[in-house]
Amino acid sequence: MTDQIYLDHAATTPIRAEVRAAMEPWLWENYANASSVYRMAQSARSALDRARDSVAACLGATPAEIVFTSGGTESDNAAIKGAAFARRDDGRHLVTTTIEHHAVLHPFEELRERFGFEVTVVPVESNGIVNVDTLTASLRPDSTLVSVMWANNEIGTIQPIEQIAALTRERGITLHVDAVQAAGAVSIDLQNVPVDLLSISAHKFYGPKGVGALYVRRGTPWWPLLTGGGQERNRRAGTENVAGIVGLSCAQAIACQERDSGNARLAALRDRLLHAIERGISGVTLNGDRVKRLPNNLNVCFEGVHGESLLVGLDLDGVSSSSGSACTSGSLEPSHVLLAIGVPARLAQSSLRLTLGRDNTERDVDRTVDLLHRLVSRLRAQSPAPKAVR
Amino acid sequence: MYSDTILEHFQSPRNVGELEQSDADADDENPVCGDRIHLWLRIHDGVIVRAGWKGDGCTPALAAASVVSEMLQGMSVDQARALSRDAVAGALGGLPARKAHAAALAVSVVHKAIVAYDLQDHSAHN
Repeated sequence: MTDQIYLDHAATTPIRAEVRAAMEPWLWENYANASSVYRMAQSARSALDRARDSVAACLGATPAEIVFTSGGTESDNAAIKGAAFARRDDGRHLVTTTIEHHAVLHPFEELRERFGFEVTVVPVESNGIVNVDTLTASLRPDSTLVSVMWANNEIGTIQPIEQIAALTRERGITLHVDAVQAAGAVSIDLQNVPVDLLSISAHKFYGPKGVGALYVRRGTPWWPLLTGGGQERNRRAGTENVAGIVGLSCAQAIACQERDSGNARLAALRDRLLHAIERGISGVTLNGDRVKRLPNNLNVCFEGVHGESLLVGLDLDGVSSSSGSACTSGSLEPSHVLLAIGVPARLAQSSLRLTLGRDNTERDVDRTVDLLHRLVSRLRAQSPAPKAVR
Repeated sequence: MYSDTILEHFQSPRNVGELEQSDADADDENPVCGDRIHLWLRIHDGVIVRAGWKGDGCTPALAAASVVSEMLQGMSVDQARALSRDAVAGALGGLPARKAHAAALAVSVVHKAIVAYDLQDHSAHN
């Protein structure tokens, strides 16, 4: 068996050794409920406090503004529903974009369908970036909430959050930012960028799965999603996941510390991969802006081959990747993000996402390109002539 | 997600390519998801002696074309006419329900090729 090459870091990342070591004592040595009063519990409480201080510091926030959650999906749901409901007397118009993660789009749909909110879903430019003028034009006097992701999970495009935050602040609109894919790679300084609500998830930056955080700026009108206990200062009921939270804070602290050097290394690898693909394989298009994208993200269409077949073929050769589109029960389900940036449905079906990480090497990149080249050539050679189908 | 047979046929597809001297051929596609198969058959005395195919699609669609090309060899035209989706899915070691259309396309193209063969005048050969 050849060495596995993992190129799906946008889906999840492996837990770093340091993070695992930081978590371990809270998994079995000290298993206390942090809300209890005995000394073992107070020790767990102290660990939570330290983690909260660290997470806040990495984001330019204060510890009281951090609410620990079960991950990105919960943070997004809590932010959007909590802000929409808390401000329902101010207005019932909400705004988001076509390229958001389903953890954002579906709560908005739910608010529209079940609770009578009006939702405007703003289109993005063909490079996968939100046009701030278009977003501005969508705002109304009764708009209460805007939700825009910091970086896209499929095509890696980085959004102009500073400009959007200035706009929403000026209009008195609450701004939620889904930073699940951005955290770790993008510098987030909430002291200087007036975002009101922000979601992160530990497993995207070498932390554990099942834990995340929601930043709630002091004074933001917001209602908690989960009630039933007094945890997280009444903002998220449920016994705290001490080991997970410690893991999150440890992973985030390392990611902050290593960001610049890590990003430079990943961008160099990413560019090596892209250039080799573009040089060696015809009929290739890059999805999303070439420059304003995460340093580890490539999303490429290979004309005339199915992304799913590429994914399976690469997997059989030991490379883990992702394809945004699938044909299920005879229906085509292209990526909503690729459709939103104007990629035709058939071409979107040929997309492959390759997302690099800290363990990847130049050798991995070169081997992947070699395998892709052979696979695409084989699949294209066995494809019928375009006019064969009438 | 896929059976070992599907993966094996996908990775090492059998009988790929157009047959130079075919007695019948047909193409078909799933207009929704874009899977396409073109099938060529060489037939002697009512028996399929050779099948060749070209295809473009998802993993099970390509594996189905490959496995069907093997199943067809030695089959009578009448047997090919009766080929079912279940038989193809079985030969693939099972198909996930949401990928049943892969077997359906392979069977459909076989049936179309047999219809094309039936429409020809075979009196000169018989």
